[in-house]
Formats: sequence, structure tokens, C-alpha cells
Amino acid sequence: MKKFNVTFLVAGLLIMIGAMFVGTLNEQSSSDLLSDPVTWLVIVAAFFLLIALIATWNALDAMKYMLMKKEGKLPVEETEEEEEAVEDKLWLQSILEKLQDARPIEEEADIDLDHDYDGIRELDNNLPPWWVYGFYITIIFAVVYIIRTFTGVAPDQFDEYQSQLVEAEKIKAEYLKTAANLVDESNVVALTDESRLLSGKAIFDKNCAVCHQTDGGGGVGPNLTDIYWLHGGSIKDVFTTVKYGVPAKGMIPWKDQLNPSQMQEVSSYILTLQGTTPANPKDPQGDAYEPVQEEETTEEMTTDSTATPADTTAAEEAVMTSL
Amino acid sequence: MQSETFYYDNRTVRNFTVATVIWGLIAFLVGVTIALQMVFPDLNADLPWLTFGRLRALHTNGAIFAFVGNAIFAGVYYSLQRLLKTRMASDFLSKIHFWGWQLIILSAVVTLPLGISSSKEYAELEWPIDILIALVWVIFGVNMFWTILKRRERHLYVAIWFYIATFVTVAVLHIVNNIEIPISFTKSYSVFAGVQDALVQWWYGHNAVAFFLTTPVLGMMYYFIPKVANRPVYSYRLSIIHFWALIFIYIWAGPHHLLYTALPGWAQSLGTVFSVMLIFPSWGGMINGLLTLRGAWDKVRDSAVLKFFVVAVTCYGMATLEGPLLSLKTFNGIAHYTDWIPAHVHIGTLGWNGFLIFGMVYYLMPKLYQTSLFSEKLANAHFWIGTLGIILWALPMYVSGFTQSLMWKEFNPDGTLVYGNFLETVTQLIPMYLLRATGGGLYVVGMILLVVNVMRTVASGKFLPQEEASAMPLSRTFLKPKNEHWHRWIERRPVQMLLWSTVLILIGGAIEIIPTMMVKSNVPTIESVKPYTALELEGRDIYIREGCNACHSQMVRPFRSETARYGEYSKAGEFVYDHPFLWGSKRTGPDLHRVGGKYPHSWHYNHMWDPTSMSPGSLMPRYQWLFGNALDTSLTKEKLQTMVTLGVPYTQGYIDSVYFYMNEQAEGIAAELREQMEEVEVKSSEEIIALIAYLQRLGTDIKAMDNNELAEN
Repeated sequence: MKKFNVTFLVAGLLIMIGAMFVGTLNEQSSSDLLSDPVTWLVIVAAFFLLIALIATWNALDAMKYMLMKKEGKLPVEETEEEEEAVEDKLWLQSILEKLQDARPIEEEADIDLDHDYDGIRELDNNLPPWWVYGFYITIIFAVVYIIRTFTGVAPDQFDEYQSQLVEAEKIKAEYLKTAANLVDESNVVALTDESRLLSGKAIFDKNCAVCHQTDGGGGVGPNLTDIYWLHGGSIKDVFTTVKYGVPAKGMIPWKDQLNPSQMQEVSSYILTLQGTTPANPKDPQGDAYEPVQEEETTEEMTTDSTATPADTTAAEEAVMTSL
Repeated sequence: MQSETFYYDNRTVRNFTVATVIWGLIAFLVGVTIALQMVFPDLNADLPWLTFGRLRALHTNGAIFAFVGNAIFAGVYYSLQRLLKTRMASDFLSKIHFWGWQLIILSAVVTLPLGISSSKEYAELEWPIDILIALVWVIFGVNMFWTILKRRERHLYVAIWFYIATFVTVAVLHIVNNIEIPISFTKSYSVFAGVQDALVQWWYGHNAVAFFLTTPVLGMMYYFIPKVANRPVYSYRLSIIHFWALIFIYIWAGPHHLLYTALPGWAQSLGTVFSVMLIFPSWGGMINGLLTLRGAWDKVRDSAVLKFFVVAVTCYGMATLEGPLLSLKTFNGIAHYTDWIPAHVHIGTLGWNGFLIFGMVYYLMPKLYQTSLFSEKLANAHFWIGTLGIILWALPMYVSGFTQSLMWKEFNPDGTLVYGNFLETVTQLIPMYLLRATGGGLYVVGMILLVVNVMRTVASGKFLPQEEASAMPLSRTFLKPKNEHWHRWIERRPVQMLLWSTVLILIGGAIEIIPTMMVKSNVPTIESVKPYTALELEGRDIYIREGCNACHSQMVRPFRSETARYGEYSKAGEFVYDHPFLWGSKRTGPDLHRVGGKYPHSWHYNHMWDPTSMSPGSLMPRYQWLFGNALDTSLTKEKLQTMVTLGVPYTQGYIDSVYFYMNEQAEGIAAELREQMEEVEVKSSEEIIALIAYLQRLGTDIKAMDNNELAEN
């Protein structure tokens, strides 16, 4: 009966934690999170903690049960089945008892120290051996840890950092071998692929709309729908403005917050706003920009390009030949 | 020899108990308010004194010093008299102690919302209040020791060992951490700077938890659990070893709050290993408390008081295992700065402190009013609602902490951060913050039940201010019994007890702090780091006033995920002019150490006016009063002179013409702002200009250095 409650409690807690965890993740991130070793570390740690919790609970329960039985506070009405279960448990209990090394309550008088503070008495129970050994283990851990760190055997935080960087470089190099996500201001082309423009819009709405309005009409930042541009209106110009910002004018750089292909998506989306009619257009600023013929051809040539690396490479080659 | 009759002073105990309940309720309500502000930032109604940064200090100070503080004094005054069979030595001192402490709390309630703060966590109160605290604390100590000296009980019980250690350690911590030079009645600068200030602060902060929230409460546990359960203490030897081990080891563990920071590695390692060694001394208290209940578990079922005690001690055990685990670098790298830490802290405060205190109040009030508790059922309801409140508080914060940490650290294969915009990691957590506020709300509901129960109990009883007792006086001669345990020797000698406790608690602090102060290599000099300009310094004081460090750290750790997000990791040498340090301990918002130059002035200008205009969905309050307020420069010269005293190299020429330089810098910023935002009217005398100057300076001094130089520091 008692056990049942505990199982319920633990299961309930597990479900609650799981539900909250899942609830905080959006679909996109969950798969990435699951491949992160830290996630697994945390899950394993949580698992062990739970086991420890259950074990502690059961031990306490067993102890309470034993003690109450010894004190005669529990009616003895066990079925044979339970009797057997108790037998099975005995070896474990004897180990636990040895580790606790408590004098039974009925022998309490023998270890009463005859101290009396406002009616409070003190017993002279031995230090629980599990406690003593545990304490020794932590002391040994401390000595080893200190020796390892003070002699430089264990990596310090800067060594750890360096190896993180090395590891990251490896992963990046590995990735770059297979991907051609190397868009920068020298080779960027305007995308026309519907799905990528859509993700460009999502990026725009989340990051840019505060200053430029969702419809691009401008606010803190300039109007993006007219043909007038402060820093140039070609895809390369727009990409450069997004990437490095124009801090003197209040435009912040996005290169640390967006990756190159995201910047390409959002820049391409911005160009699609040309000629639309916003609700509250800001007055034109800067110079009128006329798309150059060459640019147009490039755009046309990449019309079929999708997000796949092979196609992007093809598009890049196309740029090369057109030059 | 004749038995002597005397009277226990119940009035002081009653007063402290009532104060506990009143201040507790207030501290909890402030807590729920700021918890809700993290879901609904508009709740501060744009009033400066209601903003999170200021109220957070009020909540922590209220919970620690007003709620737990008054409870400790109630517990000490009640148990000390009875354990020593004597009345408190001086009614006069008791009275000053009580009213002095309430005055301190009242001044905190006034000054903290006004933004009068020294910025050091749990030590935010400014210097005049610090002095008052020191005085009242000494009065408490004198009263306690005087009582001990005129005792009728030859040996000191374990609870009193803990009270003595509490008294001496808190005195040392409080005084050292608050060494500051006053500039005016409401403003001072810490004498320590940067790394050293951080170390002293967390030596204090950690041990405030140890010696204000733990040792006195353990003393109370040792009195009230055996008393209520009517059972003998499980093991006297365990009491001895865990007491001495605890006070000796605890004091070393402070640096675990600064793992992976610019604190020297050797000090961090000491913090880690002493935290790990703390597990068993802490658990000694837990098992001695729980095993004292052997043979009384049937009482636990019936008594709400014992139920509170059992959960309190269990929470103590959980928190003291979790703490050392969090001190391991692996766990710390995940948990630090996240919501995991508030979860850990609240298991300790709501569970251990709160529940032990509730149990004590339910036990004490009927005794003081010579009646029985108005409703045991109501107390039981409080117990269950409170427990649910704790679970609902802590669980979402654990989840939130993990989530936050994972999101901060997640990379795309191309080497960019998945959540490069910090805001994405914040908006994700809002449902968890709402759950947490609900948990806090439940805890308050429980507290209201306690208030009702106590009021009805008081109404039904009659207060007994003087409780008669009798005991034999101590004889002049004492025959030492044979086979006496060696520790009995020191239990008869309170002065030795005080002395040895002091020696033990000084060792750890001294070994960590003195070399950090004295040895040059611990804080390598960086040539390009220069003092703040006067305008930046004034901006920094606004940052302190608004409590920005409650949500923003200024410490980029050497993790790839942090250098990719914020920039170069922070170096010890960058903080040498930071009196006080402002590293922070929690990132509700992003780290700010490298924010200088990251955004244009206009971004900060718009962002401080309305954070959601630049970061939609931001939880940060609006700081619109910084725009109306003219910057107060009346103390600027004094501030600079004080900094010179502290070793910051301002020239006399600079100080003499400081207003010229300030004006020049402010005009420069204002001109840039006007250029960036043609339609806004910018005045160079506003506080916002100084704050922008400070923010734009942050972390920029090392930008001129090349990679080789960076690697050397």
C-alpha cells in the first residue's frame, strides 16, 4: 500500500518533469537538443537522482516500519506472502543496520548519557558507519582533486576553453566539407525560392520589424519598400548592411545572431518588399537605386536554386561564369 | 543548597515571534510580486520603486533578515533561557535588540526601494544601516553571553554551540564585507575592487547562508525537535563532530559561487573541494534530527509541528547535497546564472528555514498564551498547501534552468549559436515563471492560514509574560565524573568555545582572501585598462541604484558558447577599478560585460525608454524616469576623490575640471543620438546619457589588444 503511493508519486513527478521539459521546447529545437551530450548528461543525472530518491524513501519506509514494529506500534497481521517478502529483504536490512549501527530503542537506557537540558536527553549512539565512510571518501576526493589541480594535471578552465575551440573547429571543418553554406557579401545572390523567402519573412518579423515595421514601411529605421536606399539596394549591399550594420546610424550588426544563409534569406525577403504599399510609409531617404541588368540575369539564373548544397554550388559557378 | 526561583522573559520571545510572522508575510508577498513581474513586466506600473531590480533586494533582505532573523532571535531567546535555567541577563538589552532590529528592517524597507544600495547581494544596505546592524548584533551577543555566564546549567547544550558560532561568524562576515568609504549619508564605495571584492562578497554571501540561515536554525532544530517529539537526541558524538566540521569547512566554500570566473583557479578549487567535504557534516545535522524522531513517527502523523520539522530537515538534506554537486565544475557550468540556482536556494529557504520556523511558531504561540493551538486542522492544511507550494516553486525552475542552459549552449554545425538572440531563450521560459509564481502564491496562502491560526490562538489564550521556573544554582566546586567524554571540558567553558569557534572560522577565510589581496600574480595588470570617466562612473552608480545586476551579469566565462555570444572572456585585470564589483549572479537578461560598442547609442536610448521597442517580448522594465531626471553631479568630485583614496589613478587636474570633461562627453553622446534619431529631442544632462556612457564603455578597454596579448591575460 505504502509502496504503491511512492510509485505513484515518483511516476507523477516524472511525468510532470517530462511534460514541462517538452513543453518548453519548440519542435525545431527538440531534435537538436536530444543530440546534445549535455542533455543526456542531465537526463542521466536526473535518473540517478530519482533512483537515489526512491532508495532513500524505501529505506526510510523500511526503517520506520521496523521501528514501529519493534515498538509494538504496528499490529502484527502479516499474510504469508508478506512474510516471505520480508525474508527476502532481511539480508539487505542487515547490511543497512550494520551501516547505521544504531542501538535499538529498547536498549536506549544503556546509552543514555544522563545529560538533561530542559528535559532534553542525549544518547551515545555510535557515528553511523555510512556517514563516517562517506565523510572519508569526500576528504580523499578533496585531496586528490587539489593535487590534480595544483600540479596542473587536471586541465584548468583556460585549457578546457582551448579544447572546446579546437573541437568546434573540427566540427565546423567537417560541416563545411559537405555544405556550401559559405554565403558572404562577395557571392550572395537574391533567392526566389518560396520556402526560403518564407523563412526570410519569419526572420524579418522577429528581428527587423520592430524598427522597420512588418510591412517594411519604416519607423526607427528607414522605409524598405521604396526605391531609395541609404546604403545601396543591391542584394550585396543589403546583405552587407544586415551583416555588419551601420552602427553610426543605429542599425545593429546581425552577424553574431544570424548565420550567413539566414542573412541571405532575410536580405532576399527585404528586396521582395520593393514596390509594395505599406500602411504608414516613412519618407524616402538616400538615393534611388536602379537594379543593374547583370544582377537581373544572375537572379534569373538562380531562380531554380533550392536550399540543397549542390544547387547552391551550381549557382555559384553560374556567377563565376557570368563574370 | 536551595533551589532558586526565577522568571523566563516571554515578552521578548513573543515580540520576535509576532515580528517573524508579520515580516514573513510581507517578504513573501514581495517575492510573489517580483515573480509575477517576470511574467507581466507591466506590473511595476512604471514606478521606479516598484521595479524588479530594487524590489528583489527588498525580498531577499526581508526573507533573510526580517523573517528568518526575527525567528532566530525568538528561537534563541526562548531556548537559551530554558537550556541555561536562567532569565535573559538584561531586559534592557533585550528591548534594544528587539526594537533596534525592527528599526534596521524598517530602514531597509525605505531605502532599498529608493535605490539606496551598495549592490552587494544580501548586503545591499548602505553604511549607516550597516553600522546599526553591527551595533544591534553586538548587543545581541553581549546579552547572550552575559546570560550564558550567569547560567544555572554547567554544560552548554549543542544548540548553544551553534548560537555562539553564529554570533561570532556573522559579526566577522558582516564587518569585513561592508568595509566601505562613505561619500554621503546614502552612498559609499567598497574598499575592495573587482576580483577581491567578488571573493569577499561571496565569502560573505555563502556564509550568510551558512551562519544566518543554517547554524542558528540547526540550533533551533536541536532544541525544538527533541522537545516536541519528547525523544532523546540520537547521537551526542555526532553532534560534536558535525558541529566542529561544519563550522570549519563551511567558511571555505564561498568561491564555489565564482567558478569559471576571473577568480584565480586555486581559490576556485578550494571552493569546490570544501563544498564536497561539506556533504557529511551537513548531513550529520539532518540524520541527528531525523533519527531523534525514532520511536516518535506515530506522533509525526498526528502533529502538524513535527510534520513541518520533518519536511524542513529533509529539505535541508536535499539542499546540502545539491549545493556540493553544484560546486563541481561540470554541474556549475550548466547551472550557474540559470534558474536552477533560485530553485536550489528556495528549497533551502522555503523548505528548511520556512518550515522549521512555521513549526516553531505553531509550537511557541500556544505555550506563550497558555492555551492550545486554535486549529490543528488548519495547521495541517498549511503544511500541505505549503509543501505543494514548494514543489510548484522549485520544479518549474529546475526545468527552466536546464532549458535555459541548453539553449544558451546550443550550436549550429556551422559554428553559430542556434539561439543567437538571447531573447528567444527568455520567452521560452515564461510559462515556467508563471508556474513558479503560482507556487509562491500557494506558499503565501499557507502563511495566511498561519496568521489566522495564530490570531485565533492568541485571542483564546492569556499571555504569560513572566514564566516561573526554579533550578539549583551552580555550585562553586565541580567534581569531574570519571570517564567523562573529552568534549565536556569545553562545554563548561563558554569563553573557550567562543575563542575556538573564532579561530576555526577565521582560518578558511584568511587563507583564501589574504593571498588574493596580496599576491600580485592573482590579478595580472592589463595596461590598456583605465579608470571610468566621471560620466561613466555616474552612469555606473545609476546601474547600481536600479539594481541592474539582479538580472545581468558582467562576467563572460571562458566557454565557447559565451565567447561566441558575448565576446572575449572576462579577465581579472579588467576589474581593478570596479568598486564595488558588479559581476552579478543570475542572467535573466544577457551578460553585459562586452556590451560596450555592440549597439549604437540610439539602441540603448530606445531600449531604456521601452525595451520591447528594440526587443519584442522582453521582460525588462521600462526606465523612463532616467529621461526626465537630470543627472545629479553634486557628489561627483567627492566620488572621484574617494576613488583616488582607494587607489584609482585620477589626476588632480581631471578632478578639478571634472564638470568640463563630463559635459564634453555627454554632449558628444547627445549629438550622436540627435544624428541617429532626428525626431527625438535629446538633452545631454539626463541620467540616461550617463548610463549610456557607462554601458558603451563596458568591456571595451581590452579591444585594442591583439590576440597574443589576450592570451597572456
